[in-house]
Amino acid sequence: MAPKKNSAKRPQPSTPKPSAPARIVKVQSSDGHILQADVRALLLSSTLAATIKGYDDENKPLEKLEVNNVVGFTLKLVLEWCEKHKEDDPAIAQAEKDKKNIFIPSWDRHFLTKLPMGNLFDLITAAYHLDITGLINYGCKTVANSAKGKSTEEMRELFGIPEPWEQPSTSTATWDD
Amino acid sequence: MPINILSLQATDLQYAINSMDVGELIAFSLCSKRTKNLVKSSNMLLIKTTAAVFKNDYIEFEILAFQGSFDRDIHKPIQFFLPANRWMQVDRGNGIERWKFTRSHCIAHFMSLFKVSEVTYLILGGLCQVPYLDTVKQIFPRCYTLKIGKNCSDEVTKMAILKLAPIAKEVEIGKNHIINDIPHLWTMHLEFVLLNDEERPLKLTLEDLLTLNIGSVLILNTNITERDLNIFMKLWMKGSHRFYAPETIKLHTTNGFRMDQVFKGIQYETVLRDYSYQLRRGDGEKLTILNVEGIMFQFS
Repeated sequence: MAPKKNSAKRPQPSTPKPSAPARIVKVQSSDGHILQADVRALLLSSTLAATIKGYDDENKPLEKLEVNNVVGFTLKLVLEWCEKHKEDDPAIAQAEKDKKNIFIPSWDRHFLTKLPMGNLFDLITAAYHLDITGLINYGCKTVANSAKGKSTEEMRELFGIPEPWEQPSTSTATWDD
Repeated sequence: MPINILSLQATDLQYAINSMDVGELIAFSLCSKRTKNLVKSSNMLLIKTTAAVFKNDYIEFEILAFQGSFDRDIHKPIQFFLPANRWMQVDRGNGIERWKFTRSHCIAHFMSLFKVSEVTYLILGGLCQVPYLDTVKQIFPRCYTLKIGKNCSDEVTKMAILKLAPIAKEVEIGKNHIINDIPHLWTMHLEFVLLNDEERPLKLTLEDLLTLNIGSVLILNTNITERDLNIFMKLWMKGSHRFYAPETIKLHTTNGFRMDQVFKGIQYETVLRDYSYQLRRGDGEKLTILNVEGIMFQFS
């Protein structure tokens, strides 16, 4: 005899919760460009998260965030990265912070490696100013990866390190002492 | 136009550097004085350096270092081939590369990079020119272990013991027959001496054992007599000096030692049958004698 089914008591598969409606705010770069971003994406930046929290605590309407130390082009890249990662658990980025061998997901690898080295450095610097741990992790790892298999001369060229005799001398010490 | 990596924030830069592997870090450290200092303050750890010196002024230098936790399957030594008066060549695991650095520059650079003043192993292989030892000493002023290969000439072996053993803590010598010409060896202040010539036995005497000033001695082929060993133990039993330098002496012989002759007239305790014996002196000092693959004296 087949066991009696009691489908009424069986938990039904839950339907996905409707996500909260996106809360869009304006973000202004140091050179005056105004961009738009989802607040959830901006919360990846500890610096901006603190500012947003300040507005929310005081029940003040948040119309525009000013980012004074990042130019428009770089800020656009930052926001693009944050938008892609707005659902991420920030604990993962924190846990990866001190790990040497972190895995860069394919979207991030493509996003970061297509950038010229100068833009990548600007992006890492912006991530540092805005305190976005995940972007710092992936950016720095991408810089390290770009050094793979390179000789000293190739690294000097890639990273824009002047030849020893071109370096500004600040002391009487030689470069190889 | 490339942007200078050194313009990155210090923490980001250090993070990027900590993500590089050892081969990349070494190449990066050679870019400039600042990159060298950055690599110096990274979390790279040195396991050992090996310098093998061959004839015609040719040196092979090897660095085994790692970041994070050491894994012998992943972390392989990086080899530098350093002929005199030519650019160095490097093998970081992806074939030979040519780097435009001189030998003296790179060795000094590596020692400074890893904050060490001595190479772990200094190996002399097939040398036959005595004056060249001065050059070797100039390049490597200190080492932990000096290995004098059996392919070195007799004269080089003798002079290497006299000139280079004082800059080492441990010495390995591949030729026994020249040792009797250097009685000075036994009184050198060394932590360990290995005589690894298995072809020709070393004639070791009671006097050699009594003058020993070396922490630990291992001789793979010796023809010391049981009588000398017996007198050595009797003298140790009668002695009262607490500061006999050696902690262990291990002697191998092709024919084995007749232990009844070695212990003749000596009162001993058997710790393990046929293997381990113990002598006790009036002042409480102990001497353990192990009879496994030769004879080993342990002083405590």
